[in-house]
Amino acid sequence: MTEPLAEPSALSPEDARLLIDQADSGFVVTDANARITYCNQRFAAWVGRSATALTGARVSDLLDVPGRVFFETHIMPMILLQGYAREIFCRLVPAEGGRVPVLLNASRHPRDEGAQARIVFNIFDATERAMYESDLRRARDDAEELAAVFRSAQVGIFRVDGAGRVKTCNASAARMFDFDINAAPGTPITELVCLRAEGDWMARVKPLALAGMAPEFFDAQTEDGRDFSISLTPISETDIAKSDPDFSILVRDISQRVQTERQLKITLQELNHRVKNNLAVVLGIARQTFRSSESTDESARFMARLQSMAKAHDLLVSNNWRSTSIREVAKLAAADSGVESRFDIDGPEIVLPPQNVAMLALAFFELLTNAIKYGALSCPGGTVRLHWTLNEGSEPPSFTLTWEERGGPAVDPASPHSGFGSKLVERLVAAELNGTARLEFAPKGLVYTLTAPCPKN
Amino acid sequence: MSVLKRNNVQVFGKGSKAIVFAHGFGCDQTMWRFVAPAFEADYRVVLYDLTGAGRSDLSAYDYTRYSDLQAHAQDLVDVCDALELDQPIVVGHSVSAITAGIAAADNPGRFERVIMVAPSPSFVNDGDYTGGFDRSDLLQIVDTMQENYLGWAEQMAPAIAGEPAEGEAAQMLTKSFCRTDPGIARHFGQVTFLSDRREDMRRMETPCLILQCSDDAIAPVAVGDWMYAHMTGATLRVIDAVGHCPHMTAPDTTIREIKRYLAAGD
Repeated sequence: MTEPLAEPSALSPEDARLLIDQADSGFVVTDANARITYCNQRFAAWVGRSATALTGARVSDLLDVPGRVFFETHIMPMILLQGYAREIFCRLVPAEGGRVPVLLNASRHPRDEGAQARIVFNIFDATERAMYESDLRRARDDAEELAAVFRSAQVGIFRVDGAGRVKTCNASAARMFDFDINAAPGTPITELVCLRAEGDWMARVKPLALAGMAPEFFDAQTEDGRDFSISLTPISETDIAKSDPDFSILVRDISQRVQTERQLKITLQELNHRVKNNLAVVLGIARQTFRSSESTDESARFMARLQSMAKAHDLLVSNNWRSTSIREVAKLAAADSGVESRFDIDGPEIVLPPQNVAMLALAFFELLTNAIKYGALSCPGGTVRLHWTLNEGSEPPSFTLTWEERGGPAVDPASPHSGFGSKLVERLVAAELNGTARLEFAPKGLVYTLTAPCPKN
Repeated sequence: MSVLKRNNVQVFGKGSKAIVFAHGFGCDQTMWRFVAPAFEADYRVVLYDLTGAGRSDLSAYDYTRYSDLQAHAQDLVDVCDALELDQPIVVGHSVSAITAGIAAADNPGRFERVIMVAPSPSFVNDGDYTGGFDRSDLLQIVDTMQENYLGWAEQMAPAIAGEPAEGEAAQMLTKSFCRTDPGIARHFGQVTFLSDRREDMRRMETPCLILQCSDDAIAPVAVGDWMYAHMTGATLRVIDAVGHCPHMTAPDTTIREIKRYLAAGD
């Protein structure tokens, strides 16, 4: 048996007054249409008007515009249809301006009566709740944004624990490796992503990633012959230093790229092979043709030119037909001379596209041949200064290259020099590089100047 | 899924002529519970939930399709077609008054009459037109819907429905009342408040009653005046009612005005 409850002490009128007016919430009584018939002092203070002045006003009139719309479209229908509305967030608009965020509760009494019913509103200050809710919303929006990236990424993304068991993964990952995304959690990553000739690849890569606490990248092929680029990154939690952290694993299918590269490599090899073959055939034909000829000097020169071209070609091959810097071409010429120490080579890094490289190599060969026969390299002590500089402020950007001979025999400016060699270095090279070239037979030594636009990268 | 299931269509009443009630933004067909029964003696009464509201099939709410009120107008026509209603009377509240107007404009002769309760074809003030809101206000409305996400979810949970008002029927109403996905509610709010369908009202020719509340913050009197001035065959009745939901706050007046309008046409 329980003791009968003590009779509640009667509420004195003073206490009732105190309770109603000083409680930390607004009390409002309205008619069935939310027109105020009574409100307490707390509520009147929030909206900055006297309780008397508020009589007859509708509760919705005291809200901001969105609140008013919400009131008419949601709160009133709820009160009218179900008899109550709970914890609706709104903002009161005080007479002096600003906003008071509030939570609004309402109930109708008697609950199901029509026009005669009254509505009791109980309103709480929600300033703090408004703040943390806006933080929550922001956090949720951020999380949703990230989740959208995770979902839609064309990259397979896994989170695995220290033992390599999947915690979560995205739909792309499941598609790539054809597994049921719901069954993935708990499964070792190495069972879902099977790499060729590697059982437990996670065990191999994990220490590498842990050593630097940095992503570890590697390319691998799966059992079914697809190529993937994989990265393994330890996930560092902000406040807990874990010796055995989780990892994020990103997997990108690069089969197509690898396939294309393989194709390109084969094509390149084939091209090199054919060009070399053709040059060899041309050399052979030349030898046959010039064997009986009188002009051995000319034929030797022709074959030397072909050989120079073959060397320029080799340079391109060794660079995989990529762009080659002027320095590399210059060094090739110097090495060819057999007196590399007599060359002074200097200039900034300027790379030329493959088609320009062969032409510049040929030009250097002509200049070199001339220098050995008649110029600075024909006698001891002569030097070649091969410098190039970027031209300040030129638009489009351009460079000037200078081949300057010193210390050779005196040059006779009057001697005719209009053979194939000078034609090549002056006209053909200029045309190929879309610039201007000048060959100057100065008394102190030959000077060759080439100005051309810098190739766009 | 059939249209009747998609839109949770309910049919009752005895009469050859059908009267279809379409609820407005923020609620579902329960909104009509004080008004619809008054018509069951003389009409075939049809109630339905807009796609995305109440007990409609939420999965049918395609965000792209329903970003135009036209989709809701087509749904109304679909419901009438599915029930093979011959020239029904359509009663629409708020945004559904406008979609009923769009449906009538697109399908002349499909409806006998359209009754628009607290309609507004455009909420934004635009030159001489007083919609009642500035654009910035309307954008804030959508934010407010989001702020009430939590409170809103609570309202939807049947477990927190509180003490049942009276019996099982009321409890069932409580459970379904205003139950919808918050994402859909937000989207529908955005579409509702940012649409301008004044052109559709101009081209509509079906006889029409505009039932306007004398003190409505959402559809002010100026909107009713504009509609009356620009619509062919429109009748305007301003009833003495506060708020945006006269079918709930002043159901008797609402019923009387609708019946009077329908009787006048006979």
